[in-house]
Amino acid sequence: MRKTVLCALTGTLLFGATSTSALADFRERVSATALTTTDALIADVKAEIEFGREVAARILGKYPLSKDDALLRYVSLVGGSVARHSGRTELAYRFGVLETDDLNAYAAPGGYIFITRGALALMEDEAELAAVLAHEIAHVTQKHIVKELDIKGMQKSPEAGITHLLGGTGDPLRIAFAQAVDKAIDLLFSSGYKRQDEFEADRVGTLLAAQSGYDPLALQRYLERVSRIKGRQSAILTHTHPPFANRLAALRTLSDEEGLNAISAQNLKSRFVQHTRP
Amino acid sequence: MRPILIAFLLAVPLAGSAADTLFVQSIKAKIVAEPRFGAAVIAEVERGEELTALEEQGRWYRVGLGGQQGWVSRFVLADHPPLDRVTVLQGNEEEQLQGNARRRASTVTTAGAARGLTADERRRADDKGANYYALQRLEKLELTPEEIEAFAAQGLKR
Repeated sequence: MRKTVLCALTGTLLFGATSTSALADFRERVSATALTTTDALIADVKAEIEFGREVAARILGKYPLSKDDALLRYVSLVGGSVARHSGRTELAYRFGVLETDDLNAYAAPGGYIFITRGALALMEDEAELAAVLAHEIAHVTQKHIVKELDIKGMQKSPEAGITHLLGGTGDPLRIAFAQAVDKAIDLLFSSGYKRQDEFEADRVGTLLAAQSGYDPLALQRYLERVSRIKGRQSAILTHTHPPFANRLAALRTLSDEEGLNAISAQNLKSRFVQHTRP
Repeated sequence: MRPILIAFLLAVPLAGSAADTLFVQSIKAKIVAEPRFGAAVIAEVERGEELTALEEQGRWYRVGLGGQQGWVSRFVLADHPPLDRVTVLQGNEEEQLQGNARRRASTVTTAGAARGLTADERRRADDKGANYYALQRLEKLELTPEEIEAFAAQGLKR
């Protein structure tokens, strides 16, 4: 199986390599300048954001972005309150509401996070919203898609730019890029993350919500409610995620190990209702 | 009792030589007395703080700070100082240059910024149904750290 290698220039994208020659060709065009550790880290993050933008644009092509700016702002404030406590504060996280009654949430690399109107409608308080956003933020901080598709940054020569690299309709790099985005979309909407990645997002997200001051048991409450919903609304979620019973059991173990039941934290139901209920 | 014993056995003291340095990535982090969230808080440290890693245990590091020792969640630590905000969008470049002063100006020039669609984007919009206009609307909604801080302070006690 040919592994997709996705590379990026500092600030611009390179998509390797449906063919090794394309990658070799690219590398010849790349400056041999040694990277400092910081430059290499920044190049990786830029590659991730460029890739995540494309995945986000595809998600927004599938579901409309809510036109309710006040709602978007509220969800962004809740998400931002959580993300600032994460281990990746170099990202500008964005939080969108998708107009569908499907119950789901999505994370694209680089910090593009989405929650559906259907999921919002099923939530009872702000802690549950924070918990679901924290789960999605955890997919980003743990770089699940980035690792799966091997997205990396690379120093570029000053003259190299995305137009140069991606010019021409037949450029294999651009085709490789499109294929990598296709894979990410397939992962989000069809095949799902690896099971261990979902369990990790539950764990890291729950601890992130706790760190932010939200009730760390809120994800369990929400998942228990979702698990009782049958049919089309929960079809994608059920198909792409491990069984609810397994996730809830793992979360209960985490709560015991970390002493989460004893933490005094906020649910903020009234603020949630005020901002999300017409 | 058993989980505590297992946790003890899984604890990995770091190499006896020079201890590793870890940097706080999150805006704040609690140092607690035991490797669990429910434990008593010893101190709170801020983003960028340098900690000495003494031991690794599951989701936690035992760290030293000044004369104190305690446990910090591994999910808020990294082996490098936190990066300044990274963006690929035009309009933020000046801020980015200031933040990452060591970087060359030429490395900041990027594509895919919030502006009219590129030919590639138009093609992907047609072929793949990507919606860059909605994406740009979302990207324009960026909040300031101060707005988020004020919102969190209104409801969340830590």
